[in-house]
Amino acid sequence: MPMITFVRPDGERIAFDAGGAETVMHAAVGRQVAGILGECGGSMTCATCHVFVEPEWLDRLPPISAAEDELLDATATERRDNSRLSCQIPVSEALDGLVLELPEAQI
Amino acid sequence: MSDLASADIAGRTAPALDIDPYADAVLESPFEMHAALRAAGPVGWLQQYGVYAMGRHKDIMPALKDWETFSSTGGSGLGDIRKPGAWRPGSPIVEVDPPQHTKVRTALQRILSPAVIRQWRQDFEAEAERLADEIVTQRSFCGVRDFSETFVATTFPAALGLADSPERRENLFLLGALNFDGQGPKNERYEATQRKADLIWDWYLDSMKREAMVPGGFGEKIFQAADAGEIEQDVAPLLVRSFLRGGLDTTSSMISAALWYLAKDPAQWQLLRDDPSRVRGALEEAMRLETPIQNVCRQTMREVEIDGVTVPFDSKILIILASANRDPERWENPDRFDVTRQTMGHLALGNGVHMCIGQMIARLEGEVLLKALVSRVSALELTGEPTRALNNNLRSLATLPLAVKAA
Repeated sequence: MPMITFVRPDGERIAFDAGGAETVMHAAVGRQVAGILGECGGSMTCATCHVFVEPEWLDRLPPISAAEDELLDATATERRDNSRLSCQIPVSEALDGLVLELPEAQI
Repeated sequence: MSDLASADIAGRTAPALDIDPYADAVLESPFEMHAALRAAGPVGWLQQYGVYAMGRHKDIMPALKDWETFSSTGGSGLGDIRKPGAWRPGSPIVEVDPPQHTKVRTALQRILSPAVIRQWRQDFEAEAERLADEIVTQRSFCGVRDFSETFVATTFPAALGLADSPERRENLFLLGALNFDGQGPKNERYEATQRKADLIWDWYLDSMKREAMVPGGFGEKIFQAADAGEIEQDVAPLLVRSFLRGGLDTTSSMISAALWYLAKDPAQWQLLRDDPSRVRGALEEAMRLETPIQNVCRQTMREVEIDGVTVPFDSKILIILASANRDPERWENPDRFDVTRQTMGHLALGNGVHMCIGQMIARLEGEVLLKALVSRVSALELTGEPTRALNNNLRSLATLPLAVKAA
């Protein structure tokens, strides 16, 4: 039961069990978390599933690929050191407790 | 006995189907054909064309992701572009696979990055507002000719950097029709379009040259990427060609379809009036239901078993995206237009490494145009029956008679 928490820019927290979803983006879209669009469905074309990862979690996620790195430079809300595309984070039990901050804008 | 045993191991043979996806009546309304194909199982054999066909979402989605098995190198249409006599050279992005594909896709993705596309928003909005003002004054208009096509024919070539000329709009739509007719069989429909396109062939060839690109457009950037060695020099004009042929009528088809469904259902229009951010959802739903590019082809790179049915090595498979997009196994009330639907997983833009690279441009165009209308119009009304423009692979409306009531 990997519980994931999204924190909106206004501070509101949305926590849910992401179990069964392919990626964090899929889990968020499935739960209709406003602020995660995932328009390209994970094909790395849209950069609309941008999240800021709580620093302590950064090293526990899979590394950033060249393609993700390039797309992170094109996000609507400017990239920070802890930026990731949530479609590139596969859901697993190891994510239990993950906290992600939502950016101001995705498009 | 040994034959039977080997048949067991190899799986069933695809059933032969007496289905013609390119008959006029089927192009007008393909939904019965889709249902028959899905009912036949994961794969059918289309006797008339000598190709396999797939129509179920659960089989198509993984096939699109698996480019190693289901390759694009045989061509996006029914014809095999590897064989002599192909009507055009292969596209250096659509009809290649990794690793060559990765290099070109990466360069193009950089040129058409979401950040670049966002910079066009203001220009697109200005044109959308001008056009919406005009429509509201007219009150009655054609949703295709006067609205979606006018908008796309103005904004997209400008972003590409193709110089304006009196014939530009008509020529680009003709090239689009040729592109998509050419993905089907060499039937009378295709031949007629080719004859018309022959008359503008010089214009077409000139338009993909470097000299034709207006500075500042993304067409010029494609040539600059070739200068920088990111792509081959001879690939640049072919990439421009892909955009000339594929970027207009697909987007206008999506927008016209959205207008049509919205005009048929005032409650859905009201949902957009209540929350204009829902226009993106309306566009996804229009794409799912109408699927501007109805199908794509893949070539098997090995013998493959799809849910118990064997398809031999080097077979052409017609993957009917439009069928997957209304598959009742995947979608609840599949035929219903619902702007609040969770549409992720629709396959109108493909999936996997070949997923539409222009999708964020299409969404931006649709979003600003619909938003301009939503903010000005309290009611959108259908004033007659729309008509279809029949094409071998592009599903679109020819006319859409509409009237608006100013808000």
